[in-house]
Amino acid sequence: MNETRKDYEPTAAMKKKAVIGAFGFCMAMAAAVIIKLALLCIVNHDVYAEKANNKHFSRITITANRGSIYDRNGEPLARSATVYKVYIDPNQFQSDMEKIGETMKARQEAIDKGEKLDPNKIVMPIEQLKEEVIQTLAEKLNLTVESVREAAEKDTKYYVLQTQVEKNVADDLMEYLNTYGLTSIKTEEDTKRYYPQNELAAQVIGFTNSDGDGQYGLEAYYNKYLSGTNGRVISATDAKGNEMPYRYSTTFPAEDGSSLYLTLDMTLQYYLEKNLQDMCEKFDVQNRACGIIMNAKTGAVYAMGTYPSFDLNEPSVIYDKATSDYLQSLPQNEYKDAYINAREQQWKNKAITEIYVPGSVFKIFTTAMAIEEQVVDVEKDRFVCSGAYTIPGVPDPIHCHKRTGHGDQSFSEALTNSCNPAFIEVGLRVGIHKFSQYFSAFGLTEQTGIDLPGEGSSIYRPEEKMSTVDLAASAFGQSNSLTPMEMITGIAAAINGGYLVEPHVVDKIVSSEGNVVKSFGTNVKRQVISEESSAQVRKLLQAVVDNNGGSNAYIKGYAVGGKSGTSQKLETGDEDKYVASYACFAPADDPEIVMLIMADEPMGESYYGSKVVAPYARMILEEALPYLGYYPEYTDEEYAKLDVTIPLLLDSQLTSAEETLTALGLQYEVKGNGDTVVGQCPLTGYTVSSGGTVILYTEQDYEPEFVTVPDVKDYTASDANQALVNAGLNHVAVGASADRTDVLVQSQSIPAGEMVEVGTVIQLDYSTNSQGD
Amino acid sequence: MNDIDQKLEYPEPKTEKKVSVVKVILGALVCFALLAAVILSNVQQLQLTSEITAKQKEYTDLQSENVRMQTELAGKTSNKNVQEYAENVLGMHPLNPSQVEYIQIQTADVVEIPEEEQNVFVKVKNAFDSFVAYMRG
Repeated sequence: MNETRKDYEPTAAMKKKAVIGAFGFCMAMAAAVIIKLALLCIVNHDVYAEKANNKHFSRITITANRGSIYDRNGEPLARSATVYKVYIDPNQFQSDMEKIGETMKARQEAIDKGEKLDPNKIVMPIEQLKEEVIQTLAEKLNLTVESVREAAEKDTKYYVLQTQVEKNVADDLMEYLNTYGLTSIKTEEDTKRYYPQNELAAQVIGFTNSDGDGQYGLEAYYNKYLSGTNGRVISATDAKGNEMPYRYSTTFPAEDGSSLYLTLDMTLQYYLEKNLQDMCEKFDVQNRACGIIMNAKTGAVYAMGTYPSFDLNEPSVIYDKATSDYLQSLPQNEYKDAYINAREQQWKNKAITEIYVPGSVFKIFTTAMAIEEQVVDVEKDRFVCSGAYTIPGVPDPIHCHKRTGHGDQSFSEALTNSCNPAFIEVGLRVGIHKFSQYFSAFGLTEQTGIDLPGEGSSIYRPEEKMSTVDLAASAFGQSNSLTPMEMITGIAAAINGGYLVEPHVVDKIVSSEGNVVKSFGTNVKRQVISEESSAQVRKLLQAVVDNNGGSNAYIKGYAVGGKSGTSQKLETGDEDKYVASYACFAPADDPEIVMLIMADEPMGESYYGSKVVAPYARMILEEALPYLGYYPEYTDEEYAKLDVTIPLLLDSQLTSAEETLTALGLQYEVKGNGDTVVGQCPLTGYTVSSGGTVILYTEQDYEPEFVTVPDVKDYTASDANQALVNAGLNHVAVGASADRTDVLVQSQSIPAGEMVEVGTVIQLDYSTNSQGD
Repeated sequence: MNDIDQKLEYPEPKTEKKVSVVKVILGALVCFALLAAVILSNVQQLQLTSEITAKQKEYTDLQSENVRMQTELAGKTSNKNVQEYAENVLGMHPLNPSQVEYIQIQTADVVEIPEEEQNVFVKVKNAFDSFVAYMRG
């Protein structure tokens, strides 16, 4: 039988089975895919989503800007700005040099063949180019050529050449490198902290370390506020790491640090530090000096300085030349430890960290407690000083600084004379228990709480261990050791109405948006003495200055109260080491500012507070008081003896000039027969003491007469005046007032023996000859 | 024969609609154009974002440079530098306090009106006036 095509065609059943089979296979495949998708997208969704996010998204940290620090007038004291880190990829550098070398070689060959090249295309040997690049890097980054060459030859992909490179330097460098197409040297952002005032208030402000965290001072104390919080951007990035717009991108903005507005005044700070420096240089102060100017009522610190200071922009550099020279002279094995000690020492804020024996300045507290306890009648009580005081039961007497004794004196005189026996008696009248109570009430047993790190604590004799001898020594300030900050805070309480205030350096903290985050007002801890007692203390301390102006900060036209102090550093075992200090306040009837200055180990011609420190306290007040808006109000007596500024008399009629000089209280001497003034000595602008003489020249081509300057050092004011008048010279007093009988000439502006024109003004620097502290 | 023909009635074959080639091409072009527009807008958006980021960075850099320069200026004009320059370069000296003359300036006349004593009727009237003013806003 013949088979037909129909015999080979699949039957319906076969077709059906084939369809079922194919369908089943497809379903199986689909099921497998669906199951796999379900595993990936549902079961393991989080795992793969995270992996995908890590690939697609980047987390870019937004660095928070550190807050700034300003003084009370808004002058910047510390600010951060972006700088750059310059780094090299040495492997890439070598490769770049090779490529450039080949290019240069090709260009040279073209030139040799006679081809004309674009004049802008550089042609030089590759070694010369390499050397030029290294030299340029070294010069711009302030590095040695050797160090740059060494870095360029390292076997690494990343090596930092220099950090904290400023933008203009980094831009110049990149522009230079781009001319050669060098891509192996790059920059990345860094931050630098700038301190525009350099060494001013260095120990108060502090500085930051390489990580940007505060070290010392306000930078450390308020680091939490200043540093802010970094932010983050999570978004898709391209292959080069650039952010791409992505609808799910999330930004957590950085919270910039808050800024500090201080109570410090840069102008007052400058006055303080300038005079601390002059004092240390003149009196060869060995163990630093410090000073504090504070608002007596609010505790706001206007100025706080330690000398020698250091440059905040280079905190690791030893600023004091003498210390630096000493370190350089040390052998290698001793240098490192000595350098670390010196560096730590210069960073310490002496005004709050170090204690000292206050000496006679402490008598302010003894005075206050005696008046409050009414153990002394200021008007009636008399004290007899024979030069020493014998405490009952104690064989050795305690001597007064004046061994011959002050004799009979009132309490005010005893304070002015700084008589130790008188104050021993006052202390004994107060008694151990009350004395200890007031000692604690004035805050002298605890830290002041000032907002600076590293505040020290006093060392004192507690009540239960205090003997009569201890009380006697404590009463005149030669027993307990206190920090200058404790002293000035306690003194402020004694003269501001009796209120112990908490000192502070920061006035307010302001966020980057301008909102006040925190404000620091006056914090009164307690009232120690009554306002009446405080008023009496002020009056007595003003009398100290008025009655002994040569030893104190007496300023014509101003009411100033003060007390000097000198103490032996018995703890050193060296009897020739002293601490000189001076505390003062103004205006005396309603004090705004209180000031304390201390010189530790003056080794110059004197070590007494009245000679070393008081003159500089006066100079600071002379500048500070007008700056703060206090203008002199002269008494009639002071007004009559005011120094006179020579007016401009040139080209004026002689008669008119004579009238002008007479009206100013000056005398005159006419040289020549003319009727017009053609020359004068002293010239206009110079200052002379009242009653001085002006030489008036009335003939053209006049020849001035010259005289020899006499030596008036150590003369009294009247003798110096006479000597200069006899020589035909004028004078003007600086330093202590020449009205005082207890002052001597310390120095003269023009040395003895020099020939000067008749009428020339000699500036005489007066200082007290009494050394009672 | 006719019966067979009548029995077998085949449906008339459907005539195929001929689709215009032009329309297809136009449709495709429109689709491509739309796609291109979408891509172009994304590209522009990327470009603008990139430019914005670059400008923001430039602004931040310039701000930082401004801070640095302001700080440098503040350092150069510090009290210490000014005094040193005045003394060492210009040969100037600080003012002596006695060279400063203080003048008392006559202040403008001030008229003080003493507060009148108010009796109870005046106080009531004032209180009523204040209330009316408050209600009026």
